[in-house]
Amino acid sequence: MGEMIKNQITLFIDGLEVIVEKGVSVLEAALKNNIYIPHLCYCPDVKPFGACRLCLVEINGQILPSCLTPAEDGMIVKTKTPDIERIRKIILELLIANHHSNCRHCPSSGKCNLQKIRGRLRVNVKRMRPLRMAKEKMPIDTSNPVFDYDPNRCILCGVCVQICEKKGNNIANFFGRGYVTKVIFLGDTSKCEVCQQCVTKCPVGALISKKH
Amino acid sequence: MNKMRKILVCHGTGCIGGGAEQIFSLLEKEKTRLNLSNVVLKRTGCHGFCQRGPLVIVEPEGILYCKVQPQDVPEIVQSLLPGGNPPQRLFYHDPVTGDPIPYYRDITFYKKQQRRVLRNCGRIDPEDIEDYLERGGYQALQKALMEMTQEQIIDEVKRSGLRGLGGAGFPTGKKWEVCYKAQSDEKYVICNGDEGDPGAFQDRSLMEGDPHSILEGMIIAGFAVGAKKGFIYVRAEYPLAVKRLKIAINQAKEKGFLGKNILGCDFDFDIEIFQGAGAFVCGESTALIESMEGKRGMPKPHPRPRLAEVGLWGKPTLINNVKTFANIPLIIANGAEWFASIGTEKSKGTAIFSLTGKVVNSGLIEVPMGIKLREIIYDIGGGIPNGKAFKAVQTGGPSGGCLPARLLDMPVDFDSLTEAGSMMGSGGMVVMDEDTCMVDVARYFLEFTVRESCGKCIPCRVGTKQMYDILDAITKGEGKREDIDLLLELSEVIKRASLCALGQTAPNPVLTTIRYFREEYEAHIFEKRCPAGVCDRLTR
Amino acid sequence: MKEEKKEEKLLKEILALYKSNKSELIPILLQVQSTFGYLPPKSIKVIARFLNMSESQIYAVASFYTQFRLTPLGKKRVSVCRGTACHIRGASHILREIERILGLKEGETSADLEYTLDTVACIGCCALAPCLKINDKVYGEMTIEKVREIFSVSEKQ
Repeated sequence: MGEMIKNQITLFIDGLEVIVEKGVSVLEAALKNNIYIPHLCYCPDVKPFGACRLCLVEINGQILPSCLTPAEDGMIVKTKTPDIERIRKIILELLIANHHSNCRHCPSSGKCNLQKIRGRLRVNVKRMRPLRMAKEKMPIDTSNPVFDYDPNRCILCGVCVQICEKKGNNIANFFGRGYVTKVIFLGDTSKCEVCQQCVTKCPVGALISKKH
Repeated sequence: MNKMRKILVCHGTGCIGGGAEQIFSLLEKEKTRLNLSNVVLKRTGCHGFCQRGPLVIVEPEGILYCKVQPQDVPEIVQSLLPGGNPPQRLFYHDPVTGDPIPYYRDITFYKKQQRRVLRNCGRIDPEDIEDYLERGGYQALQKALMEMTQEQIIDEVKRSGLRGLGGAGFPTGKKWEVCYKAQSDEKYVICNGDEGDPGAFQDRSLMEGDPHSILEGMIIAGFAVGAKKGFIYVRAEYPLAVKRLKIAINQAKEKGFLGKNILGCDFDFDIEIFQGAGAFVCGESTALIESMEGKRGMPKPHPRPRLAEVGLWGKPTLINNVKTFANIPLIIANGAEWFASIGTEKSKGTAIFSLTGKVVNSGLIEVPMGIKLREIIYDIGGGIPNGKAFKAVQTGGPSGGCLPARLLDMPVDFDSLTEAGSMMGSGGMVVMDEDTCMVDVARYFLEFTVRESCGKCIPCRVGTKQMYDILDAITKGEGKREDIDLLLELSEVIKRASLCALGQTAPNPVLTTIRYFREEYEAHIFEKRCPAGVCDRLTR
Repeated sequence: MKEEKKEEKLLKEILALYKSNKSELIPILLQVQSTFGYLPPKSIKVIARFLNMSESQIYAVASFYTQFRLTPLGKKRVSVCRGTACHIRGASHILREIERILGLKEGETSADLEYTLDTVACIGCCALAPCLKINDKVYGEMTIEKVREIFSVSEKQ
């Protein structure tokens, strides 16, 4: 009984007292207790990447990514300040303006995490009108025998890269830098049929099984 | 008996481009032909007065010859003979009065400078350690190793008030202390020579012109924090700097300033060069380390441990900029009080700038912190050429901002620049005149940032591209009425949500140009007019 | 076949200088780049084996840095500087003129592999802006006239 308590910590998320085991991140602490913090690049099967910046929270006046911040005893976390909400909205608007595919023709519609967050944060399309839409359309990669990769829908969360590495296949990797970065799939693709973890874990509709 | 004379020929990259090597070999031939045994010829690093190169200086008088051409060589050499007269037409001439000014110490470009860190640049042969030793080189190292403890060295650096000269201005002594206190069997010292700001060449000039000053600073740092291995991360685009540093390292080894049991003390230290592969983001410390570990140069997000505690290969790592290390021998040799005797309360010592753009005297300068912008641009820089009006001065590269004429009397130091919306950065200072379009400048910097963004986080990767697209549209007459507010809103989010300093500072050029030159944006958007006459598709 | 053997031999010589530590990837790539003028696909395979990494992982790193080219360069690499000082002094006009004369857009290599045209963030000769480099030679204080001079001479050669 004494040992169990030693490993547990108490923190406060949006005023709610939350008890978790030591070692989890603030995001995990929240999700385990049904407190929703928007996240796109977080996947429990791989290491947190800290790239989408949607999970930003305020701790002690600092704005930090909750996926990478270890939960500490006595921590006071605010997930919904006006600042953070505005930041989240704009990040989402930027993503949507850049996504240049509409949901109607996307096989991931209904399962897509980006769709889910868009719904929850209620993005105002009118407000988005001055944003410039992405003009360049990158070609869809159909080279893999099992799935197709659409870089226009990819949000570069890195989950597919990490999971492919975890499986020891090292086929999926980032290619390029900055705005034109995409994922390439190079190597012994005979391994893909039995795995397809990248397709399963992709939070959006960037990886679609060829069976569709 | 003829006194010893030295002819110094600047071999900075700029002067080499102007024909310095040919001039040097011609001078050599003339010297041999006339059998002038009392004359020593030297190739030196950048003397700073780049606009006037190729430069030749005759010591001990300190005569400066500008824009020297091969055909001028015989006259220069003749002037060294008894009764010889220096060719006046090659002197610097005052741009207003036309008076010839033979001695460089009298030229306003040099007069208002305080060339401490640059003391050897242009005076010594960077490929000859004897020159460096002759001017007091490696004495600071001797003092540090033989007369001081690690704590005393760190204390001296702390009390000097030296702040990092790579951009952020973090107190150097504090950083050293953190690294010193970290417990580890292995520690590393890294010199950040990835000078990526377009328009900045002060780090390059130091590496090419006085490499030993950097090595000496690093070795002292290694001793102070307890490291045995140092690296100099040099940008791919600087092959001459790599060459000169390698020569300097070998020479230092031969003299026992590097290697095992340095100067007979129980201290080993080695330095290796690591060449960058072309990524501006690798100037960011964590990205630099990623590239040294063979990975994509993606910065590490906060929260994370300090590099001084967990850095290269997980070991405590001290990273400082080229100029920061070059200051160390001076601080150790002359003391913290001497160092802090110039500068302002919170910004001690000197700042080194590459002064370029629409300015008469373009080149490399070193000034005391706190000097006014006006003094730099007009007294040292000689003002704006072709009778044009000053419009703005940009500092801090793509992470900095543009400051208008009404701020010309502000002091140049870390905090004043940051308060005004810009930053010290690595030392680029670009002067702009009435023919520069400030919206185009903002667009230019965003274009750079978009290219160099590592692409990891959404605010930077997508946000800066969005800002670029908006700015590009504005310069093409396709601006929308909401654009200025949109740019301000995006800027704020990108500043606060980006993962690293590249993204966090990327909006600064936009924020400062809107803050200080809003009318230009409005003219572009509402009148489809470019006041400076730069944007092709718009009327003037 | 002879070319392949030569390529293999050169690669072997380069790798002999390294310890097959993953941290050596960038120095290795730089050496291969400078030896061959680009990173031949074969070299990526060999390096991957040497470092016990996948080809995909090597491409991930190589594609991040601008020094590395995955396609061959022209004999004359023309790099126009787009640094701040150069931009303020009219670098974009210089670039446009060269694009016109060579018939290449930025980033392209001519079909006969004579020229590659690209831009560089900063050569470091800002006082002599606008600048360009042709291979290792720096040309400063460029004007449209100078561009025409340089390239008409090159063309004749």
